[in-house]
Formats: sequence, structure tokens, C-alpha cells
Amino acid sequence: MVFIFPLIGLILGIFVANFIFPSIESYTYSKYLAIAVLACMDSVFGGIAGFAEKKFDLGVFVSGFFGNSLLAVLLTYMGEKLSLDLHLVAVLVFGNRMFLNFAIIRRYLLNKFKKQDKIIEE
Amino acid sequence: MKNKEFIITITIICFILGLMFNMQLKTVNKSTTTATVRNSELQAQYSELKKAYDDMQVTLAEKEKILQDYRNVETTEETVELIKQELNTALRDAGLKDVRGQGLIVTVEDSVNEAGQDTNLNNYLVHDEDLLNIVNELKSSGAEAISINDQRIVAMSSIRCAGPTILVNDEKLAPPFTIKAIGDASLLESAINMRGSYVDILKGWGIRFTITKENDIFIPKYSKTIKGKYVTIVDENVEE
Repeated sequence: MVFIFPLIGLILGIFVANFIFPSIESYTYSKYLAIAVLACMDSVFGGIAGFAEKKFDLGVFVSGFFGNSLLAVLLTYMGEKLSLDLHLVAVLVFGNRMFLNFAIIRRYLLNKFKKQDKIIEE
Repeated sequence: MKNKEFIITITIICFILGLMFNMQLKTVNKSTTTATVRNSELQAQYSELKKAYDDMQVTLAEKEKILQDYRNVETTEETVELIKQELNTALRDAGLKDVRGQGLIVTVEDSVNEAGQDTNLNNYLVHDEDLLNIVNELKSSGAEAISINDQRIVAMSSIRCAGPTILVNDEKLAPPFTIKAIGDASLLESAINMRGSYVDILKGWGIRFTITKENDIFIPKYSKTIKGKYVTIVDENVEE
């Protein structure tokens, strides 16, 4: 039941966005925002996976969140300047890591509910 | 302790995620129409509109200047009427007025003939030069106003090829082409139908023509602006 708070946060965020930004029309920066969303999701998955493995560290987590987002946006910007789709690098890395972290989370949850120690060797 | 820390940060991050996700969703939803249009196309449209806008600005400035001139001149009813008349005649001749009158409507369409295997398909299509020649023939037989698909042909009009379409006054036109000409209807008709005329040759390729005489043809005015960027009027009274 730990995950009820993040879920509330997520829904709250979606609602609050409606009030803060009633309408966004600029299409220029949507690419950057999309990459930032991906970085954010990566951080969430990474954090949960870290928690599951009992390796969660606030400093690593926060620095990773901001650092990754910035680097991803920078890559996108550079890609635009160099006319090379560099944002794909970020997409690939984040996507890959999300799946890996999800695998860890899955194992953690399965382990937790099945109460069998066959899935994770400790 | 660590548990609490984790939940708080994850919640904050999730909040930010929700915020950004919704923002992005809105942006993408708003711009699906523009996203599907290719960049270059939008650019072309933009520059076209920009050009039109600049043209408008120029005309506005010109018109304002003319208005100013009129205001400066001492005006009586008579002179105003005279100037108006002169202006109308000039505008009519320049193609800047909607006009109507008797004349000829010629519709030109691509051939429906089966092309042989070794023949050039181009012979069965309506080309820019075909339109150009027909317009020329109409002009030479005394047409006073001509339009192709409601694009008025004026002195500086161009007719040229643009892939599958034809550009008239820089507007893309596709077949069928309706050429309207105001003038002596029967004279125009006989010129068009003359044996050995351009139309006669094109008919041989199966290009389809419908030629009708009409008592009342409406021809719209020239919709673009003619920029006097490089020309200056030479005063006839001044000896050079």
C-alpha cells in the first residue's frame, strides 16, 4: 500500500496541470518536454527498483532525475542543431532502463506476494 | 526513515511526471494537424502568406499616398467625376475590375483516347503552351478580357507548367480549364474553330473542347497586386 501516495501525486499532477497551464500552443518545445517526461518516468522506475533492492539513495535519485533530464534535453537540442536524431539515444537508454527496472520491480513484487524465495536469490 | 524519504520523493517526482505528461498531451493534441503537414509545405505557405502580407502593406502605403494627393487637390464635383471616369477606364483596361459582356467559353480537358504503347503520353494532356496558344488566339481575334478558371489574364500574367498542374498568375490550376473571353462572340468562335488553328490540331489528339457562345459572361478582376518596384512613369510632356 506504499504506492498509493505516488499514485495520488500523479493524478494530482495531471489535475493541477489543467489549472496552471489551461492551454499550451507552442509546438517548438514539445520534443523537449516529451524527453523530460521520459526521463521522469525512468527516474520513477529507477527509484522504485532501488527501493525494491533496498539500495535507494536520495542523493543518487535526485541527482539522477535532474541530471538525466538535462542531459536528455541537451542531446535533443544538439540533435536539432546537428540535424541528427540524437534524442533517440535518450529514448533508447530510458526505454531500455525502464524495462530492466520493471523486471526488478516485478521480481520484487512476485517475491513479496508469493512468499517463496525461488525468484530472487538473496 | 529511508522508507519515508523514498515515498516523499517518489510522490513529488510522480507529481511532476503527471504535470509534464498532461502538458505534453495538450500540446500534442493541439498540434496534431500541424504535425502531419510537412515542414517544407508549411514553410512554403508561410512565405506565400508573408509575401501577400508585404504586398498588401505596399498597396496600403500607395493607396494612402493617393488618398493624400486627392485631399490636397482642390476638388470640384466635375473634376472628381472626370477623374473617376478616367480611373475606371484605366482599371478596366488593366484588368483590375470585374467585367461582364458577351463572349465565348472554351473548356479544355485531357484526352480520353487510348494511347498506343509507343506514343508519347504527353500528347494527350493539356499543357501550358496549349493554353498559352489558345489565349493568344483569343487575344488576336479581339478579346477584351480573358480568364482561365477565373484567373484574369492581364498584361503581366504568366502561364507556365508546374508538374501535373498549370500555373496561371502563380495559382495552381488543374484540368478541366475553362477559358472565358469577352469580345465579339461569333468572331472569337470562328477564330477558335478555324481550320488549322491550334485548337483544330489539339482536337486531333483527342483533347476535348466545349465551345459555347454566351450573351453574358462574368470575368473577375485580377486578384494579385502589380508591384511598381522597378518601373517609373515617364512624363510625356517633358523632353528628355
